[in-house]
Amino acid sequence: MHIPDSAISPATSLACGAAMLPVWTVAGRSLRANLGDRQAPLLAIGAAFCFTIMMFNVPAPGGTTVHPTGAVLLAILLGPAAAVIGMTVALVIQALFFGDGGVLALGANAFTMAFAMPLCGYAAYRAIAGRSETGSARRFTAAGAGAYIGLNAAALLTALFLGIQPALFHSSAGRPQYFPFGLSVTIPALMSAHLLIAGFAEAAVTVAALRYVAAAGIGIHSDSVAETSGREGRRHLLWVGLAALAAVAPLGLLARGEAWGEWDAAEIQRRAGFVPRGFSGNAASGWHGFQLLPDYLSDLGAVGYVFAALAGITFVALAAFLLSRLLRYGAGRGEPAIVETTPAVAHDCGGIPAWLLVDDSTDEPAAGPSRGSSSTFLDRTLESIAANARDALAAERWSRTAGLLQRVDPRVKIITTLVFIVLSAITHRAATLLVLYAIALACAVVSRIPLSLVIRRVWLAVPLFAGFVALPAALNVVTPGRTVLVLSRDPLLAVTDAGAAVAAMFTLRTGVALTFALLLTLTTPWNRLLEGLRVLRISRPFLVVAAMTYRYLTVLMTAASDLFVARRSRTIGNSGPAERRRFVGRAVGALFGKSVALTDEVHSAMLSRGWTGEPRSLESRALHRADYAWMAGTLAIAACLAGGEFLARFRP
Amino acid sequence: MPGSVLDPVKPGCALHPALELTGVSFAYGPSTPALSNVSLSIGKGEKVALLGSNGCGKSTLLRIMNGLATPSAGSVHVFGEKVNPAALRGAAFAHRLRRRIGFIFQNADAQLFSSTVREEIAFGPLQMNLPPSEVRQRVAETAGMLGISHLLDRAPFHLSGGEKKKVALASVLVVNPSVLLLDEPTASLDPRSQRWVVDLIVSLHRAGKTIVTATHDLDIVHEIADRVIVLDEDHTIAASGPTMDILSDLDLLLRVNLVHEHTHRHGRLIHSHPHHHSGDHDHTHDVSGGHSHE
Repeated sequence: MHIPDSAISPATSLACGAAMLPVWTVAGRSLRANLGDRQAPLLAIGAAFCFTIMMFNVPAPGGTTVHPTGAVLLAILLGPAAAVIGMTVALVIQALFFGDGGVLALGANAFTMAFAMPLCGYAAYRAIAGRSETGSARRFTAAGAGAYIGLNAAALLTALFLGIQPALFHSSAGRPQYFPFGLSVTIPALMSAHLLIAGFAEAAVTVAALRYVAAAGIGIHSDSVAETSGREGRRHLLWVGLAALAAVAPLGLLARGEAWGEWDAAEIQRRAGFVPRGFSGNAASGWHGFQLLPDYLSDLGAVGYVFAALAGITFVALAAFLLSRLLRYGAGRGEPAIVETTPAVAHDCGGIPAWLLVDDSTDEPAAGPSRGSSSTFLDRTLESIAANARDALAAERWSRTAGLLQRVDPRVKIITTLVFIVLSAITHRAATLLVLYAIALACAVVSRIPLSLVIRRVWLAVPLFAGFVALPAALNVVTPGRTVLVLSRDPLLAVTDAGAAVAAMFTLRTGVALTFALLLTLTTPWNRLLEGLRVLRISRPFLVVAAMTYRYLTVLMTAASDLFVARRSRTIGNSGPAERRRFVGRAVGALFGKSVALTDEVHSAMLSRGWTGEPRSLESRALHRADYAWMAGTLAIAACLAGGEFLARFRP
Repeated sequence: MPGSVLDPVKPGCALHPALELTGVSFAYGPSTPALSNVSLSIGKGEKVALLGSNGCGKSTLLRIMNGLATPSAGSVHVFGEKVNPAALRGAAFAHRLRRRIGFIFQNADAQLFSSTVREEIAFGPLQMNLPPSEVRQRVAETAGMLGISHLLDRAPFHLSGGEKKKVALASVLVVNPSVLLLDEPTASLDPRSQRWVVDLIVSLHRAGKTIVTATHDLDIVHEIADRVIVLDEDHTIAASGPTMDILSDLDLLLRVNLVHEHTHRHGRLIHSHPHHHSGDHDHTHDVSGGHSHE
């Protein structure tokens, strides 16, 4: 669900970031008041926990796998304020150190995944859970519904942010500058994938994780809230609900510019075929997404649409709730317990059961159709974890190579990188983007970073998102223009000149922004990068939490990797997807247990060395003359490019 | 060793024992007691080992001595000052307690929470408001003393187990505590690092530090302690006495599950043999050969 740089305009992200400021402030204050000196380790390890479980692969309905986000889970476990800050830290680290989600798009990503998702999900959870007892079926159902609603609320917002781009930001010729598809495409595409697939996987993992946590007797936030505050809790809930609605409503107003009637339902269906994320699959299998809604609501305008979508989510959640109830009663009592088959053995051999003494390892496995597929999700998860560890190690290694950028002070590098990323985000000309890309590659060369590494890392990652968007955008059905390449005559499907230009700009923009971000990560040790972020006036407690998060990421990633390797080494037969989802949920629960224990230990270790709750560190080094020279040089280049851009845009 | 780092803190409270626990009990929940009615006193400059099997409450006892856990009953005095949550809320008292007592945790990953070794070592002195110039000097000298100067800009997760233990020790020694609490300091270290840690403990003791080590590693006890306090599996104190007396009391060690019934003593060696049910069990030992640990 991460929005990369270039998919949305910097202005959108800036607006989201501005909206997040009060949220961060309120969350920070509430944590400070409730947690005191414990907040740093708790948030850091909470964020590391989030980051780690986002690497897990969950088998989803329809045979695919998805990554859980854990935002709602975190809100239930640690409270909404902790979830807001924890998710934000996780997103910052993903963007800065692992290239997931854009640097400039952080505001929008934080708004959807660190604000809307945990708060909407938590509100739904509290509303459904009511005053039910800890560990009751209603609690778990509420958690599942909360996870489902939270994820879909975030997906809806993502669809909104992406979908309003063509209406708000286009060239004088009407060509979209950023994301090329309108709401009538983004909402059905994202919502169908999340309502039908990802939402259920997220709910299953959340419930399984909470079951594990409840069974292990680990105290969680929502228990303490339910016990202490009845009315207080309800007021809190009201506040959360209002905040979520208030957040969504102006976006609906913004979206009024979009012409709903432009594409009728039939056309959406035709276009939908080019949209990724499972939508085409759903269309093929006879489900046509939300195509009824635009038609039905076109008279009510954008605001109505947003409310309708929210109502849709709630409706589906309710249906799922009833269905799960129905299934529960149909299947007897709850999920089948694991049957302990302890054979009655003769304890004649020093307490070792007889079956353990027989070597039966050559026996064929008891029936099971396809053995291979069972461990794919394990392999994928392990691969995700290994890839992240590899990336972190690579960054660590290149940042110690003697090169030009490595010698520049991180504060200067952060500023110049941001300037270049902003420039690549606002430019209208392909030439500017090409010059920027050449500058980035030149920087890599003088920093002794192999070009092959920079090119591979960026252009292998870009098609994942840009490819899905850029390729359809090049076609006549999305961007009308002079036909360049005909793909199919009936119906007419062709690449247009305007479409090709839009697609190229979009892809290039994504690639250039990613390259600059990658260069910053590759040439700066992460601790110095965090230290350098202080220049952006980011609060010190936040940076301390981010530093600790990065530090404990390795610990939790190792723990998670061990869990999955252990599971694979014991994988003998085949297990169904539901069982695999439950396994992932239990792994998440176990990881949370470890996180809690680690938090206690770290907090003790900090207290023992005099932790007062106020982060302090040795002041940073002074800037050298070379740093100033580098800054001046890069800013001059940036100014030239911006000037050229300006002249080109306003000259008749 | 540079004197500025390891000079003992002014011996202000010479009359009081360094640590005094009276009737201390602690439980992690109604069904999991960790300590019951423990009383002990550790004098300044003593070298004491807390001996006990897994789960007998050694770590909890150390945490209580450091004011990290509050006993459900009983009282704790450090250099004559009573330690309780109310007192710990006072900044001056907390500062004094943290400065006097250093705690080396068993889990180095929990102990090392900063992003670089330099920041890790600087954490304590900075929290205690020492001026930055002095912090820099202390960090450099402590790292030099422990031979980890080359690691200062490294991240903790790139270090080996032995290096992590050295950094943990440096991060505690840098504030010059007069009492050192060590929780299983040799656990999961290779033999060479274990030797290094034991030697350091001995030389810190010579420099005037009070040393309290929780362990179940019988091989190192005679070096790291002059007195041994044995905790029973029912979370009470089973015995307290000079190291040699305790180590030669096989019945006691057997009772608290620190040794197996096939354990033997050969001079100062304690060791055990694989468990065989068949055949006679007899063997001899040549103290000068075969055993490297003495």
